[in-house]
Amino acid sequence: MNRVVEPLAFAWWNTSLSPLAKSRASDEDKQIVIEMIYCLLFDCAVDFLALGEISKDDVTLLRSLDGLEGYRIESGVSQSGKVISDTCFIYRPDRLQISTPIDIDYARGGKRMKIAQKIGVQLIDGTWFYLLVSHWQSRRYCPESDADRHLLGIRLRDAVDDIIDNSESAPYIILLGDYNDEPFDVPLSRQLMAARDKAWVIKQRKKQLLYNPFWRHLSYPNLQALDYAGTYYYKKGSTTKWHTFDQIMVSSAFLGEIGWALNEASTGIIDIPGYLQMVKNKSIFDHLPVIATFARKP
Amino acid sequence: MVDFIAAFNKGLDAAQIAEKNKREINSVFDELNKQLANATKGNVNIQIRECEKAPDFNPLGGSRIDFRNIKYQAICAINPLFPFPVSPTKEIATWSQDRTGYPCKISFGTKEHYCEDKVALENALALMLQDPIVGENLAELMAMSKASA
Repeated sequence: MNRVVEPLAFAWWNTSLSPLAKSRASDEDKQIVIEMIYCLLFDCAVDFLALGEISKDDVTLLRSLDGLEGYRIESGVSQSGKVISDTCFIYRPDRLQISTPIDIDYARGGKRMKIAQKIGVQLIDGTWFYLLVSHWQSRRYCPESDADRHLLGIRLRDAVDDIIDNSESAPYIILLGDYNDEPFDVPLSRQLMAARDKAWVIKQRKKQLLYNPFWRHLSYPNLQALDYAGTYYYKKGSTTKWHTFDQIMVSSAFLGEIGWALNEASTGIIDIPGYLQMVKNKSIFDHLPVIATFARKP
Repeated sequence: MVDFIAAFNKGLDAAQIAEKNKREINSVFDELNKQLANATKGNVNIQIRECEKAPDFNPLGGSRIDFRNIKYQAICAINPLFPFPVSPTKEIATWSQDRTGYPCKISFGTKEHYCEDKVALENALALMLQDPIVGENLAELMAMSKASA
């Protein structure tokens, strides 16, 4: 018999602590990250938090923190040749269990690119969610519209199809991370097929399209404050300083009439007081966290 | 009107490309086996085989996440010098391949590598051989002919 499960919150934050798992942060920066993590877990009630730009030392630091006794910390830091994964996952074991992350990459012309880390999440009601956590290469090393960015989208789509093809019913798939691409860029919108048209995602017969709620978060949510218009702040931007590179996308199973559903009202960018100013001013921090919540329909 | 002849010619071209790619992939495995035969005195040979797996409760065990018995392709190691007619087989990775040859995908342990060309395939096979569980399987296979000699 299924147990009653409270809504669940999944979040992603690129911490900027240790790009490519190489530590660079000061003690003060680390303290800011720790406070942000407490805020995400306790104030925002996040059940599964994926962190980017984390080193092995950072994972050790997180494991030593007080107050996280009710949480488990799974390292996603790994290296395979020149491909480095710099992630870490903090979750509530009383609410969900996770499988060991599987690193997915592709190689072409002597160059290897990381696509995603695949994680199975089992909820206490027995339901499985499948997570694909990505931190795609920076545009500095793989420019916008580069063929490799398209291939990232194509192969991430293959990973989604792999899950769909091997599931007996429409699977619950959540894709989250820092794609260094906007929702409207072709790798995400066309190759991955992460659409903005929720009605069409629900209606499509083959249930292939993914839904990307971050199409809603391309501009200023507060037209008086004009405080942030995306998740990534690049102060040298010529036509915009804000980009929506951090996103959470879902399979159409989350838009159904029964079972688990995306709660779009509490899905979006998290503005933690004080942190936004650090992102916009001179600091190592340049990404805001994103969150998606899910509730089980009766 | 649909240009069926153009489509037909494209199909012929695609078949040629697929044939060339498959020959190239076979040549990578031939070279791998040649080097392994030298290094192990003929005790290890790598082959792509069709396998069948009973249900498994790890939803991310390779790419098989349902509960049906399904057939899939795997990279297997055998010991050609095993003194009985059929060598034990060690499955060391799962294998899948596009109809045109590339990409092919090698999955082992906590890794899934898509290979878009020959160099990528060679590197992925090298990473597979470096994996400790794969190494353990190959060591067991080599030990079998010694134990039964």
